[in-house]
Amino acid sequence: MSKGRFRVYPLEGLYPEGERLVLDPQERILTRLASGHKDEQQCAIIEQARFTEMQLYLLDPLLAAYPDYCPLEMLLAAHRNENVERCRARLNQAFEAGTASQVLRGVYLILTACRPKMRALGLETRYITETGYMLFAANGQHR
Amino acid sequence: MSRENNTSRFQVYSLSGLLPQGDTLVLNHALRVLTQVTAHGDLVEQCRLSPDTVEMLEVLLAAVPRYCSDAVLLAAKTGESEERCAQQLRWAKEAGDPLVYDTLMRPVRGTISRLRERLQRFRIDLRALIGTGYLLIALSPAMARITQEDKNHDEEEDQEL
Repeated sequence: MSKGRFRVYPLEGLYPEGERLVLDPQERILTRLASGHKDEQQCAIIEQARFTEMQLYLLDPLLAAYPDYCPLEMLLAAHRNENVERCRARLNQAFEAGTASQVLRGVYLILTACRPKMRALGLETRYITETGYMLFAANGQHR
Repeated sequence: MSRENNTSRFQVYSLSGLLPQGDTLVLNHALRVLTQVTAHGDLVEQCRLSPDTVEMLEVLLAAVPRYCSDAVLLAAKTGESEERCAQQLRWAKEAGDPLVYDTLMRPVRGTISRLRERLQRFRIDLRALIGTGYLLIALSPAMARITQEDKNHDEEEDQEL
């Protein structure tokens, strides 16, 4: 969902009702927001984190895929700025040849680097073997 | 003006008269991010600030609805005490040469200029009270329109790139 320049991810099931994650692509900031504040002095912002351009290339499809997992070929395509079909073929070859970890090394490293910031935002990125990545609640209770 | 430390990193300002009813400005110190949030929890505007503009903004916001004196701004910029800055500015005024006062305030004006540009995105303007201080006011509809047009133009250019 897009609200002007901001992209809104409700992430139902990961956040309490009414909370959501908002991406500002221009400033490369993810903001976890509460559902609104009755008291003007209460802060609607729960947490904010700033990411690199490359990190956002991977986080954007991951967030958009929720509640589904984000396939590895999509992440690879985002990382390499390549066609998804081409990345799928490349990955299939790599899995058969046993070189998938080399092909996916960039994706692994970037998503690993995102982990502390994502945890601060209450989210965890988990690897699904030979499949993709999925978002979970940072406390480990995927509701 | 209301201000509350939600955590050590977030400061919330409800600037009645400057922002639409219910909106708040949230300053994230760690990231140096200024965010405008509606009462419903929607983001309206967001921008990053440089370290010197954050310091300047803090004293300006703390002064709302009153003006922020030149001495307070100079102290925020230089790190010297407010009393010392007030004394320096008093001496400059007593010297009778506007250039002396001007020279003292020059570093402040540079930062103010950058901050003004940022604040216009939030439809807030920064007005100089010559020889006195600076005041935050709501951007006039005409100025807001010009700023919005500039912003749209910038976004179109970004998209073209």
